[in-house]
Amino acid sequence: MRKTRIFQNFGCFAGILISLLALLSCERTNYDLLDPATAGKWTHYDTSNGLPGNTVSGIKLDSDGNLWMTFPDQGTAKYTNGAWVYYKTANSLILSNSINCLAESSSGAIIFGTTNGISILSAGNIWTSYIDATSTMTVTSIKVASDGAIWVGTSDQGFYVNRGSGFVKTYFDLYQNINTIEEDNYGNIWIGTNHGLIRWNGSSFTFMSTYNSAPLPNNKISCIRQDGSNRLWIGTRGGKSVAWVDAGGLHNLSLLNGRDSCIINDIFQDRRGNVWFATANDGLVCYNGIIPKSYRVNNGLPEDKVRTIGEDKDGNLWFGLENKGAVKYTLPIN
Amino acid sequence: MKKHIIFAILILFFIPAGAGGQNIPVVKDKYVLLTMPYNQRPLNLYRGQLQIDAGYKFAVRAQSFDSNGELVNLKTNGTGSVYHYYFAELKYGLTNFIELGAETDYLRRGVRDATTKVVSVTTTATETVTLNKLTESKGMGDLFIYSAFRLPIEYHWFDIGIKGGIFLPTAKSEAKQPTNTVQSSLIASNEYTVNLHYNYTNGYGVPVYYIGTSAKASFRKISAEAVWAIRTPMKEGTSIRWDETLTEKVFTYKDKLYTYLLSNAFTTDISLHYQATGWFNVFINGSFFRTKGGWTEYWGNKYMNPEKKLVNIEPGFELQVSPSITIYQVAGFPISGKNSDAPFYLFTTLSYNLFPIRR
Repeated sequence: MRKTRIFQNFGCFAGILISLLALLSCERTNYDLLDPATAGKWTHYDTSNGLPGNTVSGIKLDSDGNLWMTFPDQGTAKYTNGAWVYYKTANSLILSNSINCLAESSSGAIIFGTTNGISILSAGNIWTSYIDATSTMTVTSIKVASDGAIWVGTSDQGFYVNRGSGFVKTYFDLYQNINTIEEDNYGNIWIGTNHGLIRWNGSSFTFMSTYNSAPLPNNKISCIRQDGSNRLWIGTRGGKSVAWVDAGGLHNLSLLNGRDSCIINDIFQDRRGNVWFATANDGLVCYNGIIPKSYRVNNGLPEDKVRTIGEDKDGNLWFGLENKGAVKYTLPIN
Repeated sequence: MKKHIIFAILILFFIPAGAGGQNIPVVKDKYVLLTMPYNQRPLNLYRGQLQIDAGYKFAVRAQSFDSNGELVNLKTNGTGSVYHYYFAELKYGLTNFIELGAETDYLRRGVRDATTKVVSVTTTATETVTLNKLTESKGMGDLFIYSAFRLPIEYHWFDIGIKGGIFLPTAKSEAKQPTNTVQSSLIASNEYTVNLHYNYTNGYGVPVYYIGTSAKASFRKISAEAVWAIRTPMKEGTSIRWDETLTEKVFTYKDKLYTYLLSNAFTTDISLHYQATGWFNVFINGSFFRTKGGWTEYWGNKYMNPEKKLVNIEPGFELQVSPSITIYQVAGFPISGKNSDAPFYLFTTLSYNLFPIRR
């Protein structure tokens, strides 16, 4: 009798043990996980490890997940599947090797702004180009608006707009030097010039500068970016601060502890919500919504002259440098 | 889900069979059972015994171990802190070898970062901003319910037990909205202080299984006990992070969803006890904690959770104050670790035992 009880009890004990251990085999989805040790790291790229040039003028992620870079003297390069693919006049029908900027059209074509017009690379490796026969079209900025219209800014010939029936030039005296074009969340197109801002609201243009009391840090607007928090950022060449416009009006933010002036080359918001500023001489500044933080050579940047900012499909930031190629920054996880 | 049903069926199937075949110890007097010294009592409570535990842990987080296992002194960089951990447990001996229990906890800790000063210059003014940061974790922990089973034989000098349970996600796990404030200086109009206050909670957010096994052996006044346990999440969880923006001295917040899978947590405890008298037991415990697996989504990417390790040495004692009341006191000294805080702590537990239904 006693032996039977002990046997039953051991059976109970073993059964519970087996059932508990069965729980350990819970169903889990397998993901490709990233190593946290790679977060917060800087990786430098230049001609020694794949870049065609060490001066980067533009960075853009296309809808297929390819990362494009443009160079003022070396054409363009596409980073795909871990390798660079180069496009130059020697191996493609691109207009020029001197490329200032790029954008992606609503159909997925890549539009390159060169110092002599625009070149478009469509699916099937088909190149088309546009040049203005009446003047040299040194393209400084391209924006594909939400309605599909392509806005192209030039260094001294105003801007061109293609709404599907060809490029049409628009030229305003004093506002002919276009540096940047951006669309805000309300569909307004903002154009940054050396003389202030132009805003297109779909029916008319409005001109804003310190001359007509607009509280801008400086009239030389170098870049404009809309962020995910409904702020339109305005960077200048020489202002004490950077400005942003939101529902509450225009605000100013000092990036460099009150330096007399700084030159903002590009603005970009990362996936985390931080806004990054590329400066001409002062490295990078990251604004987390509360205070700006500087990243310079002593923080891991190869140099303090940063021209442009982009992002790859994994959310890594890429910074195009003036003389030393590009640097990839993986966002920290803390 | 199917596995959980199978698990429940197995439990229901086996418990009645075992409950009918238990061995009743020779000693039946409840006062003798309540005052049974550590070296003479089994791993579980006796049948009909109810135990209520209340504990308090005070930890001084003055150092931590980094990813290379190097000790980082937090006091020197101004981020040292203390935390308070309260714990309550109720357990009942269903039979002499099956014990049911429930426990929960409450955690309160705050980590202050070093104060920083920033000079901000706009087109209209120069301002000095002082930045303070407090990261607070506060709140109830999840409710843990469990069953513990021991060898279905009378305890003489050796015992083995297993314990299985689940942490039910009863506690709030999502971070609360930050309560940042901005204080203008009374002295200078161009100076103000930003107090960042982040509010985290204490829950897992998902059910977490617990499985443990323990063994105990006694030789006269000397006993040794080993406990090994694993906690593993039932499924992936979803939580939120807060984005904050300071505009014209007013904060606005926006939450963002992220997913995560908790790491598996393994704990191993090996202790050596000496029963000095019938009412006083001293011991030293070596505790090894380790996490593995799991991931957390950051900005669209899933990152492996860093592997944590922590080894503590815990001297302590068990003092029987009365047949019903026992005090346990433990001090924890971190020895080594990786990616982990390394606090020194004092953990006091008051245990109240009774047989509510007369044996």
